[in-house]
Amino acid sequence: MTGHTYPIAIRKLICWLLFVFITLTVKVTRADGYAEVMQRGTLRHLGVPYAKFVTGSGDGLDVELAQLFAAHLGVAYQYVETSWENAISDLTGNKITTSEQDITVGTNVAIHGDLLANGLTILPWRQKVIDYSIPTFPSGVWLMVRADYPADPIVPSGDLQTDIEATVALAQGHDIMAIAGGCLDPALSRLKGSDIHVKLMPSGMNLNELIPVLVNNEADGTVIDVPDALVGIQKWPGKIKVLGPLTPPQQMGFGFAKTSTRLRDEFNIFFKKCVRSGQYQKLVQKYYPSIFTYYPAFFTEQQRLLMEQ
Amino acid sequence: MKSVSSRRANIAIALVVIFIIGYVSLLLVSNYISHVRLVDASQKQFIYVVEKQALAVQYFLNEREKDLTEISSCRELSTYFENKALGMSLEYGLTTSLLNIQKHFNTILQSRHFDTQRIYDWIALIGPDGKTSIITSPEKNKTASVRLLNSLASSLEEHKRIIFVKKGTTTHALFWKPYFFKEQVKGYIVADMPLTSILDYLIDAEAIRAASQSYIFCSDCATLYPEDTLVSYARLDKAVNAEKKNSGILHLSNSTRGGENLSVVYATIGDTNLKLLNVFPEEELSAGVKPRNTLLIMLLLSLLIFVGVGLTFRKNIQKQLLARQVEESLRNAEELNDRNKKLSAEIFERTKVEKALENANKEIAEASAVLNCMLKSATEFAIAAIDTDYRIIHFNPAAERILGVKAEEVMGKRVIDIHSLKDVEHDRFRRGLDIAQKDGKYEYDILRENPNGEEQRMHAVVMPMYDDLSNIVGFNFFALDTTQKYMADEKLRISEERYRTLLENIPDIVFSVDQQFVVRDINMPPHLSYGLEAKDIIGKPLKKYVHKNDHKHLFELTQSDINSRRTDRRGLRFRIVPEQGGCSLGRIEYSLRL
Repeated sequence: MTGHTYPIAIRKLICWLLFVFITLTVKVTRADGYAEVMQRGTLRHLGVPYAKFVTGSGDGLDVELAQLFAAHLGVAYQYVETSWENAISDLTGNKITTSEQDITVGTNVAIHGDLLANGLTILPWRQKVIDYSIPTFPSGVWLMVRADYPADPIVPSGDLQTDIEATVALAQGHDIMAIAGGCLDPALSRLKGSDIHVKLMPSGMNLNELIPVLVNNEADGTVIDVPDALVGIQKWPGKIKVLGPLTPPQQMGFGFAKTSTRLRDEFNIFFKKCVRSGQYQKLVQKYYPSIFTYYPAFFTEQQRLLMEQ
Repeated sequence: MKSVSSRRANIAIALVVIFIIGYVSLLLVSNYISHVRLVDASQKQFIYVVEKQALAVQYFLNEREKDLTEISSCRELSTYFENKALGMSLEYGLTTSLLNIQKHFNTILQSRHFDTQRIYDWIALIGPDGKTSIITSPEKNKTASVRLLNSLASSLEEHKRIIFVKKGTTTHALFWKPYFFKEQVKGYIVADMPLTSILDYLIDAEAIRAASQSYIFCSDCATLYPEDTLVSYARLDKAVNAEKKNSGILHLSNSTRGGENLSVVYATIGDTNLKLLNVFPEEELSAGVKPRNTLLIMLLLSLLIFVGVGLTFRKNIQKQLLARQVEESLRNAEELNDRNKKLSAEIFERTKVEKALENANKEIAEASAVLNCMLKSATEFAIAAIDTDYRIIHFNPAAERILGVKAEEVMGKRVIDIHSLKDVEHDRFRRGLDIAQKDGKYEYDILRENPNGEEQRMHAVVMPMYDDLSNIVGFNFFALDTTQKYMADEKLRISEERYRTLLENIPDIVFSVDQQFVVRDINMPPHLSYGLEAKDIIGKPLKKYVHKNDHKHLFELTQSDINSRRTDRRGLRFRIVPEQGGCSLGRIEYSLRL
């Protein structure tokens, strides 16, 4: 025994195998978020205060939907506040870092919620680490500037692509704020590669702070989600203006960990029921009454698809 | 006296009537004056009521203007125009502001109502060209009419705040207010309100008179609302517009309702060209009574009073005559009543007596029946009764049998006469009755021969009879035949005498004792007397004279015989122990007598 030693390579191999075994074991134990929710008796809603999805005052479109979902499951509802930076990590249990629409999966962290919902745009890189429900809300990205911006907003042409081109043209040579990693990532719009001076804001920045920062003259404009822009237009009349669109229509949904397939499926069932009963439309009317006029196709299509099923 | 008092009454009535006529005349005159004043006061009150209603309408219209002011100062409108001024398009952001304006309009629309009836039909923001920015609530996708835009433009110049538009049978008031943004007219805020709201909820037409009707008169738009066949704008136009005052009353001679001319109370509503009218029949001013008719009424009333007084006099005389007749009738009636009372009392007394008599007779009959039964059933006693005249009034069957005389032979006959026939002493009979009357009864024995010649003995008792007042009304005679008893007693007496003689001649001592051995009878021959006499021994116990052992033996023997009921003759010896001492032997023979 005393003279019996293993070569270093074999030792490393053993350590590596142990690591893989432990990792796999952890994955297995995290499976089935639905069962955990039902066993715990509480649905933990991860959210970041944003626009009228999570107002921070205990209500919001996504808050009410999550509450209804908890009632549907027959469990208690619990809101767990997180940040844009940690939202995905708190949901999946892995430290996720993003850069230009790509991700890096880091070490294990504690799971703090069962679903993530706060106007979460469905993005490809996010789909790598989380599952989305069926789309729950339409969105898009507009370019918002201060009122004293030298150019007037575009005149709608009736063609979205033309309007995007016109908007980008108006922004040439100006400082425009964006946030890497999220739906406001320059890579998602036409900002990257143009003559626009993109000013990347910290990824953990609260999106509700974009307009105040803009009004505070820290940039000439900012990319912004349509739902957020609709709120800002009413809050800052005469201080800001929308130049035009920067992206095609996007969609938002509820995020679930990859291991919570049954929970997601259960949510989809609930959501369809909610749309069919008209409850969903009432909630949208309550928080975003004007969204029907901007994205009528989304709601028409959604209604059509759900009714067909 | 009565005619004088009647005359005085007539004079008093005449004075009262004159006073009443004077008083009524005074009342009528004062009523006429009051009536004229009342009409004036009514007119003033009607005008006041209509003015008050006009004031309420003015206040209401001011409130509506405040609504427009509130709308025009709302943040949603300024936000919209701010964003619009920045060049934002409806496609990218501006629609949100429009929806918020619409929401605000809708809030105002919903919050202004009478009970469940909304005040406004719609509220809109109309662009200056009438084509853009038309936002209405409830949502109506239409542009403003050219006529409306022209009206708004002309009203703006004339500083009119309300436009009246006729829609079918109803008239609508359009409140409007220009919306200024950065000192430029950017549009018009218009609120449409049907006038029905004002008339239905603000004006109480019946506050003046039940038959009155309220109207809103608009000289600008040549409209009278509601439309009516009775009064039209054309009929009122000249009369109302000619009035310079803000309120007043008009009498329309060319318009009638039910044959009555119409009156119109009008009041201008604030500083508008609107007037509130209240139309009602002219007679309502005087509550249906016209002052000119008052005199006629007064004359009519006077005539009625004169007729009334004449009738009163006539009635008074007739009344006096009638009173006399009534008085006479009353007196007669009183007399008759007294007689009736007396007669009734007599009848009552008689009835009472008759009833008592009837009861007494009944009692007597019952008592007689009982008595007769008793007398007839008494077979051992001869019972007879006589009255105070000594006549026999009763003689029972037993008397017939015992005395040997038939009842029909002696009934009603005097006892004295019967006694005379039988040679009975009158004095003895009278003495007996006297003793009975004195002592309550008289007893005596009779010894006579019966019709068969046999000796008959009777024991008789005579007792007096009394009525309720203790007066003697007769005597009863009771007799019992004692012949058989006398004969049995006589036989017994002779038998006893014989037994005594026999006993006294026996040489032995013969005695009898009872069960307790007490001596009951004894003969004492002189040679066996032991110095005792029979009387000394009778009643004393036997053991006093017999040795105690012998007495015991005798007692046991006799008891045994008694028990066995042995009655034959038995004998035994015993020792006699006299009181004075010594002892003798004796033999006793005895037999039991059961």
